[in-house]
Amino acid sequence: MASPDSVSESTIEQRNQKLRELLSACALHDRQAFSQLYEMTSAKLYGVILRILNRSEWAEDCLQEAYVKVWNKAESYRPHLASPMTWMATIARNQALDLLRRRHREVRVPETDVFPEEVDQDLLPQDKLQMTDEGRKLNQCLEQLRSQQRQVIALAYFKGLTHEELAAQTDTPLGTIKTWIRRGLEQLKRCLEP
Amino acid sequence: MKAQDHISENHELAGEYVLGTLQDHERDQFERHLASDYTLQQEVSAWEQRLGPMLETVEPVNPPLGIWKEIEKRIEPRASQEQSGIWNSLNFWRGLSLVTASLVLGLSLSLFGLFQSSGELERIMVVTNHESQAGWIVDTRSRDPMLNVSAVQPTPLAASEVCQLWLETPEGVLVPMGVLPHQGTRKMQIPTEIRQDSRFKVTIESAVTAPVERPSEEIVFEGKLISI
Repeated sequence: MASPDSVSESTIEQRNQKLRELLSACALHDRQAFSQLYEMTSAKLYGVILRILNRSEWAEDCLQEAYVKVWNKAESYRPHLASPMTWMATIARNQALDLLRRRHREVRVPETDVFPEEVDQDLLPQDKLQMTDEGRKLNQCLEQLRSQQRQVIALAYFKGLTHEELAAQTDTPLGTIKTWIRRGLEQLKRCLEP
Repeated sequence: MKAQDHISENHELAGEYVLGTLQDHERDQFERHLASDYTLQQEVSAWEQRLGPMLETVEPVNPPLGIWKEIEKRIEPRASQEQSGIWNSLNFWRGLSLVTASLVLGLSLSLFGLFQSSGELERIMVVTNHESQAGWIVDTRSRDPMLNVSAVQPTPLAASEVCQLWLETPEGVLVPMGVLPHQGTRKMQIPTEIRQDSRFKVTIESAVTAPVERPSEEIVFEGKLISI
């Protein structure tokens, strides 16, 4: 896979620098900075939430919750630990998974409604993981895993499926799923260590 | 030994917690430990950063236009309340600055009682500003796992600077806690390293990079929480 050219890398770095500045300003309750932050990031965060929830009426509420959290937690952002986009997208993902679990518990939504996608759909297009240093490193490490292991990890990450649900969805014995996940995470941790 | 086992088991579960594979009851149990275990919080945050780049692969989708208005409404009440309350009125505090520091502290306590309803005040620290007056009040309350930091008369700083609060461990290591607010009250997580007689410190940092992991500037304040 060819790495992106230097122009797009520097564009991403410029964008990240701007996002870091906006998050610092949000930590000081600068509402204008927050509005600009929303402009620059909401399509990405909405994409993440829709990917997990697949329902626009849930996703809209969830996006609101996610941005209120970003506003309230802006001061705890650590620039040297994560890119601003990864940090915000993680907040959006957590918010969406919380909502999915809550709804699942409350109304016992049939799984087919919540997860209408094909399980074998490529949840992790590798070319898209080449945009940042963090993404390229993770991609290299994911490539060292077996493809089923990689798919199960991606399925869990994007759908918040438990071991049992993963076993049912992929028609794989529960013990195998548990081993794949545990070993997969151990391998990833070792591989990603600085 | 048993407690140690629990700790290492929790740390092994941190990756699965972030991945999302824990069952409801396992997740609830993990979150109970997470609330009070600072190193576990760091482990979870490390896993979020390891796996987070997967989210880069998601295609952006423009959200419906009305959502921003709703978000704005959600953050507005808090901001306007903070600015209008007597607790945050600069003139009110400027007037009080003529009064002795102990009287200011006494008034602070009664104002806390009047204006802050959640939990009873347990411990308090007055962070002084550049003129040795009450700049911020830091407090802990019953039934509240967070530290409250309220701006009273903060040290005036350039737009590029902020004050950052640190907790000093018995070994002398400074644990970053967060940026002191310019106005209003901010809640901060209490590090597990906190002890009865822990010292807190304040440094001035760049607004762009704060909160930082290590203090880059000299200490401008030191103090302890005192029991009420």
